[in-house]
Amino acid sequence: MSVLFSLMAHSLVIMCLCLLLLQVKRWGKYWPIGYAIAAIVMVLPVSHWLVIEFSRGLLGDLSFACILMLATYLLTIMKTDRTSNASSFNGLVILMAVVLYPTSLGFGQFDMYSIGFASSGYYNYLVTAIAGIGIIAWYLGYAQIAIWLTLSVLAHGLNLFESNNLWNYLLDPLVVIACLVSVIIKASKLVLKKSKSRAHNGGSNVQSNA
Amino acid sequence: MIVGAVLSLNHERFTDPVFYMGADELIESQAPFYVQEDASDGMTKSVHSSTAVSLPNGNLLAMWYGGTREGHTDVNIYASVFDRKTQQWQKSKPILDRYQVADDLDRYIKKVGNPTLIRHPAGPLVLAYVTVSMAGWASSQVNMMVSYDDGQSWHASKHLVTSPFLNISTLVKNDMVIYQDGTIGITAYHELIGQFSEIIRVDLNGQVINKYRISSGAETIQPSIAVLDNKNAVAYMRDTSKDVQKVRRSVTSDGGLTWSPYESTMLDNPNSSVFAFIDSKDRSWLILNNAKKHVEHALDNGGHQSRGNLALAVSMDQGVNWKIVHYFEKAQEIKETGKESKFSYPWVTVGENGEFNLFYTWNRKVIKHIRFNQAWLEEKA
Repeated sequence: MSVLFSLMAHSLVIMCLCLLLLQVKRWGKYWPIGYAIAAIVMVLPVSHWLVIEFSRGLLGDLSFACILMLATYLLTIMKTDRTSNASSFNGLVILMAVVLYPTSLGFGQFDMYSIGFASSGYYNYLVTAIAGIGIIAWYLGYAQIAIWLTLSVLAHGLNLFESNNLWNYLLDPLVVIACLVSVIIKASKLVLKKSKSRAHNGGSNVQSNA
Repeated sequence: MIVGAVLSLNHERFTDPVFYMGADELIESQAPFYVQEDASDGMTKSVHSSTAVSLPNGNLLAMWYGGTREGHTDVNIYASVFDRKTQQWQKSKPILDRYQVADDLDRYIKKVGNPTLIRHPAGPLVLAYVTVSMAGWASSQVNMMVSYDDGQSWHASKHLVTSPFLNISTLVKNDMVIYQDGTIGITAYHELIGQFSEIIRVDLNGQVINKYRISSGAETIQPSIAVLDNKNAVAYMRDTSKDVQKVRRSVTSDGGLTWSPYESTMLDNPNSSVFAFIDSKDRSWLILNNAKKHVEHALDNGGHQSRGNLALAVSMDQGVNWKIVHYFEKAQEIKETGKESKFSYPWVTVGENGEFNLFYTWNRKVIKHIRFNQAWLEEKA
């Protein structure tokens, strides 16, 4: 069962990548052809493997943060006002990465990753904290976070993928990179907007002085 | 969310680790005994990373990986049986290639390597090995197979998820440990950015239960664990640092749940694998390359060879003080022979009769097998 779910997640990766490269948004009424091409690419045999098996070999099972991000992208790709990651989602993913990754790379004797296994003494605290954040996020209206955390905990509870570790369901490096890029783009846009507005205000002042 | 949390909190829990000691092997012969032979038979141009286990009928099952060269896509894992009656190694045969693993795991596999074997007290043989799908060895992942007929057939591979980074950079090399509840501690190490040692605890179904960190930082890999009793063990690790270059040592007194900060032993280590074992008199023994300089190739170091010998060291105080007592291999300096020699990746398994069996890579061409007994060790100690 985990193979099926995993390959479905990788079909999302290939689909999104193909649609992005094909710029299917510009195809107008021919957009279904773009989707059909992407669907064919997914199951193209290359050597001994299908393209989605290559993707699974290279990336492993994807986290639900990544799946949610890809699904959102896929569902809104044809829209003019495409939905992007909420800042709160970006922030929480990056915060979790900052907490998880350094110790997993060998900084210090304590391994944050190990507390994601049920037999760890801290596992109950992790599950409770994630569930608590999810419920609070829903209550406060941060839907993307609430959906992400709910799906992650539920999938982990059902052992949907190969991993027994809750962290693998929550985040992966791909979504962390995507969130970092999203934050950088948003920050750049904000800086650009502010500098434009300052230039505009400065220009107005000059005119008024004149 | 509540349903998910309840399901997650109901996952199976395992108690803290307690080492399984097993029964002491019966020692048959008391006359010193030492025999050397080749376990591999030249089926492939290159061989490396041997492992072995004793079978209930007294035979030995050895495995290694072989192919055109290390990391090549044509590398397979080979197996051979040492027949105790005929005292001969049988013809080796490939038991695992990347296509078979790919079919088992439903994903792309680029190469296979580093098999490690153990016989579980409940009967089955457990094989842990690495696969690479992305780049070099640092992106390895660990897999596990089980055989219930002493290696004649193997169940499909299970993929172990052990890392939050696309599950890459967990490798295996040395002997596993068994816990009292029947779970298995795969001695592993990490090579991406940090280089450190850890234990991956799994059950016979290939479910990862937990991970225990032996060391942290960026200079200790390939742990070899000498279990002293149910709670105490010592880990000896290969030193990957550029300055100290000593065999590193760490101890546990809680079954491997926590480990002391690692320290340097008096033994030199030119960034090469070591293997520890305990004899029937509770002495600690270590197989190692007794050389100083860190060089991958001897020619870079004025002809001094970092893996040009294979030594045996003994310790009476659980690895604090050591004495080199024997050289299984000792090549001449390269300036004298014009050839570089490499003896690496030692592995020791104890046979049903208490005999010690050392396996190692000889110049990447042959897997050597040396048999010796307790009496021979007594002479050396």
